[in-house]
Amino acid sequence: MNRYGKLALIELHRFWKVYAALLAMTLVSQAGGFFYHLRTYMNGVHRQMAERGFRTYQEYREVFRGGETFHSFVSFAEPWFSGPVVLCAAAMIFYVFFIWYRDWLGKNTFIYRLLMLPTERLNLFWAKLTAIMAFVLGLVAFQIVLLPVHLWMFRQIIPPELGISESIFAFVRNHRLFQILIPGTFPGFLVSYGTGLMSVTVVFASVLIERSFRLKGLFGAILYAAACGTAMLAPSFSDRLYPLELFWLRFGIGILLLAVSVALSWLLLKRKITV
Amino acid sequence: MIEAINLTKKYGRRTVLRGLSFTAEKGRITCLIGINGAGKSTLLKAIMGLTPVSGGDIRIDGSPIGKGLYEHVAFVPDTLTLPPSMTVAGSLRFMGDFYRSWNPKRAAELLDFFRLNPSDRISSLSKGNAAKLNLLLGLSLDTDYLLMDEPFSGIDLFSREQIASVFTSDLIEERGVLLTTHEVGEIEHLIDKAVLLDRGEVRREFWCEEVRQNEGKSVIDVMREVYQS
Amino acid sequence: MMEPGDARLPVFNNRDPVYLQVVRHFKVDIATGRLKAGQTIPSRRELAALMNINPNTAQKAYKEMEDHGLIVTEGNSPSRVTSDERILGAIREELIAESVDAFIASVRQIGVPVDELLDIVKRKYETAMAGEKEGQP
Repeated sequence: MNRYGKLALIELHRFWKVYAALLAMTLVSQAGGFFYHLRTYMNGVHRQMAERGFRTYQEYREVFRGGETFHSFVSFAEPWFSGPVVLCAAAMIFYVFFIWYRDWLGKNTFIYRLLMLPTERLNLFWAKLTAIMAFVLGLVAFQIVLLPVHLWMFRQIIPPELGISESIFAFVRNHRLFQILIPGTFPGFLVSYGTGLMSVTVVFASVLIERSFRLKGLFGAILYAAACGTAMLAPSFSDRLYPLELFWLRFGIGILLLAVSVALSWLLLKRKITV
Repeated sequence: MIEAINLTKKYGRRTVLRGLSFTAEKGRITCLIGINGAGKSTLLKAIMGLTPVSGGDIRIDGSPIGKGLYEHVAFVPDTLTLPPSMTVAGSLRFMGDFYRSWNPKRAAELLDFFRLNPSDRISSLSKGNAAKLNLLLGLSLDTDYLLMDEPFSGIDLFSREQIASVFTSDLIEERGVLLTTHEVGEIEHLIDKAVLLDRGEVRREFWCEEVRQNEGKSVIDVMREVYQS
Repeated sequence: MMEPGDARLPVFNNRDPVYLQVVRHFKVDIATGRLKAGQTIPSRRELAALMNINPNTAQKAYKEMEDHGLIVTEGNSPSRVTSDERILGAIREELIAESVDAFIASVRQIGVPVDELLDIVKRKYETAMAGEKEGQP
């Protein structure tokens, strides 16, 4: 295997324990929280039916306006669903920085060894970028696998008279958080994750500016990140552009920022980085 | 030959290297001597391309340092720079994965000689064992040059003796060795050349045997002259 | 062969060239018969490890001894102490002359008459030799 591949594997390996914990937390929180919520609901239904002498769910439904969708059941248990997603997102944002800083921290400063590997130093950049993207896509994929599990659980516990099961697709379309996480179309996916990829390279370049020039670099890094953010947002303030023009303009700016960030990182790693 | 030509380096307003020049020859042991803060570590890092210099040139056999030269020059920093969760065996695998100049047979011999346990984690190694593994990683690369930052500092007597014995063995034969120390003491008769540093400048560069023969002075005598004048 | 156990290892001073101290160490061993004519001596690598010196220094010491005919190296076989009686005799004389010169240089400052001096030397030397014999098992 080439050295980039080996470096990427090392990066994946170094985070896998934390990553496994994130996945486990998501599973336990969502499945556990939803299960608890559904059982509590059904216990309430059965209590009411016993008190009022209903014999079928149909009777219950006529009195209590049952017949909610999967989506609305999920939204009752929302913190159990969104909580881990937000936490995972926060962890990944933190790790975008920490994936670099960890090599400088502590008494075992691995960055010495990494910079002395007989390979293009930019491979470190690619390996770390690959790891971040793989982790993010992995989390999203895990979520996509979890949703049918939740739906299945919903169908097992809630009788059809009281709960309307919709398709996963419709559910995702209507959910505030998941519709961002899981775009409905391929171009939508490219835009979301393309923007994400570009943002990660901007952060990487900023971290490397700071690592090269330290305190002075910190100001430089903040300036660079701010400039990139402004460049991305600027077209939105124009009211003279058609949506499609706006899209292509943003696309162009995104590609440009990505290229600049990679080139800058290459230069810094080659000439300016300091241990 | 490793050549440092008129190197300068500034950290902000602080000047660490002031127009410093010296050479370290292949097949010789060259020792950079100076108190802490004299610029020894910075100099080694600069030679290895781990920190940029503000001016001057570094040449190794005539070429500037770059990715290709990491197969020709090995560096043993003053701490073991590996992730704490890596095992000793894992670190050898890591080196073998990346370096064409890695010599697994020699690594195995040294593992044995230093009595290191392959399944130990980096985080659990004693200071002496960490220093030995650090040295092992550098010595097991078949490089023309070997740079070592303070290989004797902060470790126990027996580890120090074991490490010193490396300098009298074929492990460093034919190579150019450049090491730093703030205390020349016990290695005085091991080194070929001494480069005395003071506040980022070379105060004197000399062959130890020549000075003994021509001036009847020890390395410490010369240091006394240089630093106390 | 010199073994780590039975060898008298030199304690180096830091003011004389280390390679010359190594050469002198060999001369003493040859003069006293600890190294016999024609005996093989360690390789320079072994010597470096044994004496804790840099292999370059060991190399230089061997070169010096080869140049003066103290040791001979034929092809790839290990170096040996020379069998040339003239050179072996000269080493002994040289060591004696060296020591006596140093002694005279230092004792001259006191200005002792030579007869008295020889007397004292004889007595002291015999006592010292006797002491050394007793000390040995």
